[in-house]
Amino acid sequence: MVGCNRSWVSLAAAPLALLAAAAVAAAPVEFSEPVAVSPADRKAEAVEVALDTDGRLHMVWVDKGAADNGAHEGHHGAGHDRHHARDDLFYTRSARDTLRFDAPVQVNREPGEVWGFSVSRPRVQVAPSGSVHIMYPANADQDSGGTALVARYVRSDDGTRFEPPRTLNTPAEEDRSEIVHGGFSAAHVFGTLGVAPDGRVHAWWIDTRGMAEDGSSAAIWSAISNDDGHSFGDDFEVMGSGVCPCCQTTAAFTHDGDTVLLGLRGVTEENYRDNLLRASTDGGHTWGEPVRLNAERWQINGCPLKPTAVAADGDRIYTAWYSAVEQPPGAYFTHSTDGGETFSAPRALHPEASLSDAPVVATGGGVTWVVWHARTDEGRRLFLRTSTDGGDTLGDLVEVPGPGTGQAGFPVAAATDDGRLLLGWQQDGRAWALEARAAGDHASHTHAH
Amino acid sequence: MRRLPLILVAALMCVAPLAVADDTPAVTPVSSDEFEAVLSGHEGKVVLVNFWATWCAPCLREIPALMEVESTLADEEFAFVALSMDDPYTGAAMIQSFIDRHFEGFTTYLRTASEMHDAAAVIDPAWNEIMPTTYILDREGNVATMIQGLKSADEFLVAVREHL
Repeated sequence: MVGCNRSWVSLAAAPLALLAAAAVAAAPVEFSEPVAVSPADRKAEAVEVALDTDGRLHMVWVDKGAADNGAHEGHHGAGHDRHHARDDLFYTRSARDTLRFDAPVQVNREPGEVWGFSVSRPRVQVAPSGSVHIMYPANADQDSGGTALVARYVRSDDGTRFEPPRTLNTPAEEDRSEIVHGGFSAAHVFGTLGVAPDGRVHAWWIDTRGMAEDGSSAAIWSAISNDDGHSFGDDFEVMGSGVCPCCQTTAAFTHDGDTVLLGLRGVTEENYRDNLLRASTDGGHTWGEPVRLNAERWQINGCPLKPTAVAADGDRIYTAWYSAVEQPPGAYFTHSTDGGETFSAPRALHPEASLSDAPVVATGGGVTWVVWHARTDEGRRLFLRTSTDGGDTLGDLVEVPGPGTGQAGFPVAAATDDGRLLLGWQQDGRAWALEARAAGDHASHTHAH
Repeated sequence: MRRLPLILVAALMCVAPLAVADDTPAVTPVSSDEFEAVLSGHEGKVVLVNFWATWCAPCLREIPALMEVESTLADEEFAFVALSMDDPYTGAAMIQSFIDRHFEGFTTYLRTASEMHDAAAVIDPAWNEIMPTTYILDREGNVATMIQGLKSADEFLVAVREHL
């Protein structure tokens, strides 16, 4: 059990006990105190977390420079006529089963090469062996003379010492700087990492190769490692077109690893931007037809910057995403009970809020967690809802306690097998973490694979 | 939808050169308070506020239309205000250079708030961070219309003229 050195706050026990009587399968939630993970004198953004089998929380974030830095100067210099990134990537991990973190270490070796923000976050995953895998977008000069955004990857045997970064994408042959955002010659960004139960490391990213001439539709490419990230096979195309260029991809595996799930936002020639789920049953090499998750179709010729989050527990698949056209607009949840062939009607997570956005979903130990940020009278705050019946019902919403200052946003989450949730987010220029615990024994609710 | 508070125009003039001479920067970094002052300085006019970014392809395709609207309504009680949502840490000079190369004559403010949300909250605390977003403010500074996604000059003109 965890939590030996922290205080717990039960915020939901009473109302959720009442809800239980109304046949809503949700869990009362207790929270640890929030912990500031990034240094106070630096600005952190784009937090990501992963959990290992020993109960350590691994966290990365993009470092935007000194907290008192002039915002428009840039901490790695400014003023030249190129879209060079100026950020760095930091990593830390907690001790086992407690939110005490090691001193952060810089992951990138080329200072300022990291390109990231709240919805273009770096990714971290931990393999069953304990090896740590990180992917992030980085600037790289191309032989053509242009600058590309590449899919950079770095690994560590145990999170204490990182190998030199590598680039997963093969160089794009064409210069697309006239149509790619920011004038890059090519972009291989908005990606995600996944580690299968057998240790295979998968990387996916949105790619400008084959991009529509108007810049409205991109592709998804992938690279796979069969040796714990020591080497990757050649990258290959997963979707040649029809991908929203600015909506980060997400991935999940069924527990036995037989099925790989990819969450994305598509785009049609008419600019319908549907939330899509694709599944692969051959280890990510070929993919089934996309399944649409949304009911109402959002048509916009713009940059939504809205991912489609996905989590899986056996045949139960959970997704969370934003829509501007469902009623009311905001964060939504859907689930599947048949391995992703069909999905429930979208359910609004926070219909009372004037804004609810950036939802993520995680599942483990019989508890499914959905977390998002929403506008309140006190500013933007985090909220969550739980389900202990495989997503069939969701409990009442619960506000996540934070430091109380600044705008909380862009949560990330990892669920344990004993009903806990490790949360990360950004607030007031720092990366934060806390642990939520679903009271009671939920193991009996775990769905068979 | 909120009404913008009145702030001394004198304060605005320290922040925002609206009539652009050849050597005037096309990019003016503004804090959220300063941006609020900019908008307050336009009360009495219909204001079109556009959130854009250099990494947003639809935003860039929309800029010529916005410049056409500004030119078409130059003699009306109208003001055009662009706010770049680019990462403020990448530098105003980079945005300036980008504009010089692609959109000569275009002027914009650049948020210095670290989060897009904070800059946008001056107009719309519930902004959903979709780009491009355009607001039409009426003569009292109230948000009359929100428009999201790439639009043409004609579509903007229709939206603005409803309030002129």
